[in-house]
Amino acid sequence: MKGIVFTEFMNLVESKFGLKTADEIITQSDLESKGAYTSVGTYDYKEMLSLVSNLSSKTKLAKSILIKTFGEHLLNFFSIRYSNFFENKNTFEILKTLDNHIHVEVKKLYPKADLPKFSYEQNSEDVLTVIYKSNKPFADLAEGLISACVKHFNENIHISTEDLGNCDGTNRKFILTKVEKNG
Amino acid sequence: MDEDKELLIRKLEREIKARNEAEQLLEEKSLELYLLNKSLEEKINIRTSELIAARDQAIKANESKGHFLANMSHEIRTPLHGMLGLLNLMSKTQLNEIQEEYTKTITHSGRMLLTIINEILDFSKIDAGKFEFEYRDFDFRTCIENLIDVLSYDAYAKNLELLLYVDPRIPEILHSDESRLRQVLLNLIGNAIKFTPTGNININITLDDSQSDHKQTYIFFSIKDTGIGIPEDKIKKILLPFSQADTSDLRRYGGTGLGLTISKHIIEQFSGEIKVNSIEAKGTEFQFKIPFNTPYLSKDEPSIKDDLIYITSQKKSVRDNLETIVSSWGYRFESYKNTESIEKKILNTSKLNKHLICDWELFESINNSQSLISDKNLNIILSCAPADKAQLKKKYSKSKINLIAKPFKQGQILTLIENKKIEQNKLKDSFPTQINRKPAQSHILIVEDNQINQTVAAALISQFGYSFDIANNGLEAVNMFKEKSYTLILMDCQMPTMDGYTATKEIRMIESNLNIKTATPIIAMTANAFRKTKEKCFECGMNSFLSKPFSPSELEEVLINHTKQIQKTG
Repeated sequence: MKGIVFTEFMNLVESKFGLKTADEIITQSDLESKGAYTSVGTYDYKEMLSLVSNLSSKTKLAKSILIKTFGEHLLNFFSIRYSNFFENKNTFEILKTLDNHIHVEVKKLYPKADLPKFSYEQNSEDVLTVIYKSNKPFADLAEGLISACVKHFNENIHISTEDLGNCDGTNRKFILTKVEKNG
Repeated sequence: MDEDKELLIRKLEREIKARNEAEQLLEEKSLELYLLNKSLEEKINIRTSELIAARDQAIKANESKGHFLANMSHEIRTPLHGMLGLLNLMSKTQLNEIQEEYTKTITHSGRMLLTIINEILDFSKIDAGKFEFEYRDFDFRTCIENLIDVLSYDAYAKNLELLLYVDPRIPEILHSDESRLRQVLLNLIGNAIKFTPTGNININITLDDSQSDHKQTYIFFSIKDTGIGIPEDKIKKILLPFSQADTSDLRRYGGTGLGLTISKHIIEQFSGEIKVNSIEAKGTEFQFKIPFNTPYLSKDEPSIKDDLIYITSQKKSVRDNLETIVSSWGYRFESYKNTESIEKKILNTSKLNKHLICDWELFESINNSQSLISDKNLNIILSCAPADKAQLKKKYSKSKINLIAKPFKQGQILTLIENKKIEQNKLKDSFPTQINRKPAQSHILIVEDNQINQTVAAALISQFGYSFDIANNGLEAVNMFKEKSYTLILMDCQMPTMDGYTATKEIRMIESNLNIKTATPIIAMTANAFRKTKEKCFECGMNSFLSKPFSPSELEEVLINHTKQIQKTG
């Protein structure tokens, strides 16, 4: 998993829960990297799972909520850092370009990156189905990203989810439905 | 406090570690970039070498194409020259009617074959980027009138009228490639004749005075026929290679389908553009306008003459053509479609200078034509088809009647109007029927390896009244030159043992060593008609150039020019 995910996670933990909590979860997680993350590095995704698990124990917040919140934070970070990707677009367009454009560009820079797969289906103008599939259990992260995306574009879209496969967070269906704004 | 300090120290340590890791990653990436760059440079070098090799191969292929064209030009033209030359000689011998007919047919087929081969070679040259142009000053009207004469026999054999008008304001001498211009007009007019079953072909050549100035003269050409026309959906394709409007036309009318493409290319090289308008079953018009690098000096309108010209023809197209011609020179005219009462009109006119231009058959139908012949103030100009002229010359030789073969040529008509009766033998014929020269003490050396071409050249030289020797190659020619002096040498270029270029250089060296003041004229004969070949001939010391297959009159002209020069200096 790319270092930027870890550095942004630790930044979020420090800002929300303080330097002490951040330090504690690193110490408790017994990390190979010792928590010394650089955004240009690559680290084992299990370190993230360990950090989240320890954070959950400490804060008494469910892991899924923590990961989802992080996903929202990450989208906001991406919308600033890579603002050109978000210009003149909407939620559906961003999601439809995730796999065949955004991840393609990521692969050019980081050929060895192991990215999740997003596929989609759109049978009408108002409904988009996105399927997340990965060998890592970060469907909640994807959900956070999608929610934040809707908020970023200030759209009125209802999101329903359905766990697929082993229901272990590696495979989830998201159904996005545009809702008419009531005047 | 200590706890906070330890916390900060741990954070600092993590950040230092992360920074070191980032620096290491950066170094790794830099090395990766360097290696990638090196690999890219190597790939570029390989690609560049491949491109250079491919370019050299393409240049070589292009040179091969050029050599192939030159060789094909030579290989095809050499036997054709022999064939057409011998046919010409045969036509001058005693033949019975059937043999004469067969000879004419074979000659016609041979000339058609030559046209087709020339078109294919020209198209190949265009394709290979080796289609050459040679610009020089030439007499425009003579060029046009000569080429019209070449085509007139075919046109009048089909009972078509060829009607030519050349704007008198066009300068006499123009600067351009005369032979390429001829090629275009021969193609367009030839096509018009080919595709017109009845009616006329109008060739109008006019000056565009709105564009012409002290630098350039713009001339507009229009060739309009009353032929089969071209279907609208085929008009665009007609200028593409290998295309006649209909493939059945190719079988019916013959041809390669390349002539128009070549003409289009030539016109475009002349900075012009060819346009075509056509209506099926009504006719076709080809137009183009080209600039000539000759200054245009505007002339005053011709003064109105006192003469009166009577024009008589049953065909409106012929009357229109003559009216345009005579009025452009400032002459007043009256035009009639038949000879009813024309005799009275002419005889009753008090005009001192009267002229009658009439078809000879129409003139013969006048009841009292004798009274017209007796009118001292009347100049009679009768026209006939080219094939009839020889016979009719005898009929009118003792009368005051002037006889001209169609198509009408303005210069000729003007001369007849201004000078009235001109002796028939002074009126230039396009095809002299007899060659009658006997230059004194002229001995020619013919250098030619091909036996058929030796026979043709020898027969023509004898006909012209010269004596000759034959050398089979350049080495023989040089040895013969050492033993004997010659008035002129006809030198083939490509021969075994020693070629014409080397032989010429050797001969020039002999002349220099012996202090011979007047160099012997050496005329190149070659089937290879490229500009580089001509340049090579002149560079090695040759004086003139004959391109095979050449006509008897072309050979005669060259011989006369160079032997006259010898007589002048000798």
